[in-house]
Amino acid sequence: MWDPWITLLNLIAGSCAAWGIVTGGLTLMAAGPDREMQEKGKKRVLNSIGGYMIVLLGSAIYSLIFGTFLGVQL
Amino acid sequence: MRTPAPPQTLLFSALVFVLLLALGAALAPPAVAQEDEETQPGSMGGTDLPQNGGSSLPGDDGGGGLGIPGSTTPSEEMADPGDDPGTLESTTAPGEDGLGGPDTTSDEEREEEDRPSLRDFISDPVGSAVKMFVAMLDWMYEEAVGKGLQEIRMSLAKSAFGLPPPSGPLVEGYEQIADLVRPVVLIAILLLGISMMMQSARYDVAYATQSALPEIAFTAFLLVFFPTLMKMVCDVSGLLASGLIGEANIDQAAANVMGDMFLTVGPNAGVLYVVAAVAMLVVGFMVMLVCLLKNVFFAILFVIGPLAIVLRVIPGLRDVSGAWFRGIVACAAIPILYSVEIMVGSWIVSAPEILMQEAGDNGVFGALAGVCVLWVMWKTPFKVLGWAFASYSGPKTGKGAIASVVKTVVVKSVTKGIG
Repeated sequence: MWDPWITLLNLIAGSCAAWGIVTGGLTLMAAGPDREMQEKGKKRVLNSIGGYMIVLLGSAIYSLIFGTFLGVQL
Repeated sequence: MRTPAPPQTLLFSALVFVLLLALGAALAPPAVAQEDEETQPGSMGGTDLPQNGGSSLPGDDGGGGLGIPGSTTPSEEMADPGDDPGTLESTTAPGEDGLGGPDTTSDEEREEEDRPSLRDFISDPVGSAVKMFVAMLDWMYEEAVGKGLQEIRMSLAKSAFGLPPPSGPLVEGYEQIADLVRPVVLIAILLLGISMMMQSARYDVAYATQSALPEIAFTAFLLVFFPTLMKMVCDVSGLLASGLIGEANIDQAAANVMGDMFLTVGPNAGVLYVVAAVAMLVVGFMVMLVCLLKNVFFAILFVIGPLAIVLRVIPGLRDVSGAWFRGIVACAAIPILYSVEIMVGSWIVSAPEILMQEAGDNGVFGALAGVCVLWVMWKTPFKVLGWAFASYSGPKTGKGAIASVVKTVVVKSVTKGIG
């Protein structure tokens, strides 16, 4: 049984992560030779991916504990 | 001109008169037997016991103040024993003079003999009133104090040394609340992820994976397995409590502390006994009440458990969850503390020389020690729960838990807003 709250959570987190990846990528492209801007853009992209991974990991743990992930419960 | 009394009134008066006569005849002792006894000074109420047998109580020989012509009142008998040697011997309890044989008179017969009759009441109203008052006190003692202590003792032995595991509607209520607060865990996961994406100062990968995420996972784990954990805690608490004192010894220890002596002696045993018995009844009732409240408090803590658990993941409200958890620990610790207290109390009551050399008659001291043990048992839950929630109503705020929570949240919000 899939929890609809998990879906909502991933939609929100995925949207935020996508926004961070897009804005970080744009910053990286627009940085040119500016090392500081390059680092800023890269960090934003990586943090967005990392944040989403954390949300994925958290929702997996949640699903496993509450038995909403393919019916498997601890 | 006087009007004649209506026939109903006359009939009623006659009926009352007949009833009074019948009552007097029923309560009066047989006159023939008592006249025979008057002629045989040494006989003991028609029995063949020896003269110094002392097996009968005052009144057996007809001189018990029952209005027999020629007989004396009990006070006269006691004041002038030389008039009737048989009566004198009969007023002496067996064993007191060292010559008495076994007591062959049952308690019911004694009560029957001590009960004042109508003639007795007419001839000596004050003495009969005192007798009735003492009999009434005796009855009240047996009914209220004796039976009350027995009931309290039994309920203490059943409920004080254990914690009932939550079941049935309690678990259903818990699950309903847990379902309601479950999204809080998801919100916490979402906020953690977004905080990482927004590159907040504290929220990096190391913090998220090593601290925040395990905390959230532990909270979810608690939400699911809390009923099972509580059942285990109740079992451990009960096992420890009964293991310390020994399950077979609980009844005996409670009987020692609650005073078996109160069940065997009446108010004639002395004023201190009666005072101690009444004090024990009151304190024992309070202990029983506290045991009941402990179980109710544990049930409340169990049902609001999901709310307290999810507060763990909300910054600034973690202390509320800590206080709740200490409350659970306190409820589980109370049966164990009771077990230790009643075990030590039983030793003290059984052996007063531990505290007081040359204790002499240990009956009263044992009774007072029993009251003290029950008093300590009554105070224990308040002290333990005071420890559980002390950090929440400490001298810093002085306004209790809710005020502390509100103050913490407001101060942190304002500080962050200004910063």
